[in-house]
Amino acid sequence: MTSRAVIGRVFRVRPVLRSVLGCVLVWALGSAPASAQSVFRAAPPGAPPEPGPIARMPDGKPDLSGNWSIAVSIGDISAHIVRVGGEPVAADQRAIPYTPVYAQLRAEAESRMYEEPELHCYMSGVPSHLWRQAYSGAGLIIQQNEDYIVFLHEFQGSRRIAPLSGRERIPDSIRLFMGDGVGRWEGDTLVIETTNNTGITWLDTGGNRHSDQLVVTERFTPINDDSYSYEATFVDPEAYTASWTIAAPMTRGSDPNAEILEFACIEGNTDHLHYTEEVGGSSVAAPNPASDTR
Amino acid sequence: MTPCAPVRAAAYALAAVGLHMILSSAAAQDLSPARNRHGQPDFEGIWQALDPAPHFNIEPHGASYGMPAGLGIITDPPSGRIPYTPAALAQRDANRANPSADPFARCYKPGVPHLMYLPFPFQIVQSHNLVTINSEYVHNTRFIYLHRDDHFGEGEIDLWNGDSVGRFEGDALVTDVFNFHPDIWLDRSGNHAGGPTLRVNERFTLIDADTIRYEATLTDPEDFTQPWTIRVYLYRHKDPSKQILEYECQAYAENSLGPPELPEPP
Repeated sequence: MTSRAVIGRVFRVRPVLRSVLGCVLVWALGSAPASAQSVFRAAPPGAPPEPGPIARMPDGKPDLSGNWSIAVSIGDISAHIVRVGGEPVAADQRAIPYTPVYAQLRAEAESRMYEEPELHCYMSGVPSHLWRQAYSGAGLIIQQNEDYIVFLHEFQGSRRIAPLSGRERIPDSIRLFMGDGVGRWEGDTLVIETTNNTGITWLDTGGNRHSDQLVVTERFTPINDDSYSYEATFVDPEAYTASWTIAAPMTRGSDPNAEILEFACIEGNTDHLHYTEEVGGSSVAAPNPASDTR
Repeated sequence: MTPCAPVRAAAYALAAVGLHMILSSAAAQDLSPARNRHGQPDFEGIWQALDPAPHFNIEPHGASYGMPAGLGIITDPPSGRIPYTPAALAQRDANRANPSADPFARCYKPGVPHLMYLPFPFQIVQSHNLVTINSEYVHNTRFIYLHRDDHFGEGEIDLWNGDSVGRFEGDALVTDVFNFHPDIWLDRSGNHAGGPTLRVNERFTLIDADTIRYEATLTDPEDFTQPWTIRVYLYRHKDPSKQILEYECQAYAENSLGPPELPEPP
């Protein structure tokens, strides 16, 4: 009830306006240092979490149900790189090992802002949808049963449903904004490998990119019931010269009933119209049915 | 009457009672859905309305080009027609004359209950405090919260799919949905509902392991002269390989935005 009242007060604005405000925030934060984004998540814990017992499913597997935050910068994913080509990297050596073409693409991000997928209300893609900004109580909600796990995020309504005990891959010709994720257990670690991605989504709002050859392998390892460690490894022979891995703490939200509010973006979106000629975009030639608002 | 008659009668009576008990317990078992680990009736699975006709028009209608005929899904009032107020009926006619205003044509969220009889599958997932309905249609997810029974105040917020709270009543999932956006179309024919005074009360009932009877009552004194009720049946997808894919409508509508045109290598 209390959280309800707070949400009601904060968001007594039309969802359309909220989505526009949200997109403005994305652009503002895209170039900001990671530390400026702490408004969207709990402060990072001081000491590393102590190992402890965790909630488990009836079959004994870890139960990740609940709401969470993963402390990754939405503006620059490379700040969280821990390994490149499987080798540890020093803090001042963190860089995505781009191929020349994709290094150029990254360098041109400022002039390619029209291609920013969230500007068009596309789902955020894997894995970065997990740490997009949260407007109301919960950013990321996980639902789980013994057969599959569901990741739900408020921002752009990004969602994926991954089976937990393997499944045949969908045909290569089918490309999904949220990819085709298939999970498996390695002991207590949940491993999800996501293929069939598009080359459209970005890895952060700063313009780090991937091709449609991207394969993301995520690892969720329990430390205690409120803390998991999160890792994601990126393999993409078209965009990267080596695999690279990020790591970040994953922390349970303090309110077990925190909610996700409807995210209306398509409904009245005109943001992409602001990125036209001056940034080399082509939105004039790309009419969005949502752009002629009533 | 032989001396044995009362005994025989008693035996028949006992047998009848026994048979009745066996039959009724079997019937009860048939109608009683499996329970999940939270003790809730288990609605999980991938579901879809089989009949596409209500998506086009929820009232009785003959076929036209691109639109199958349908008997309508309104069970109350018995006329099968929406009990519009005169102003709301005029709005319906205006909508029907202007199909480009259809939110569905603009890839908008379809609203509740329209989301439930779209020609797209949805997956129901249950947690102890939350039921989600994950539609393939433009990543629409309904969050039905079980931990509260209140809403935002009237007019405080407008949501295309409304604010849903729910509870289990015996074997049924019942919801109360409020805080609607004003411009929801109930079908492609301009039938409409919405706004701060609309309330939708839904009831999901498993009538067998693979079929949900879905009922929704719409109440809004601004638009309707009485509450009215629809009923559709939702069928479980039984192909084990079935999964929710994506229909990212606005991406396909934009048409020209695909993977980036790669720059020349430096």
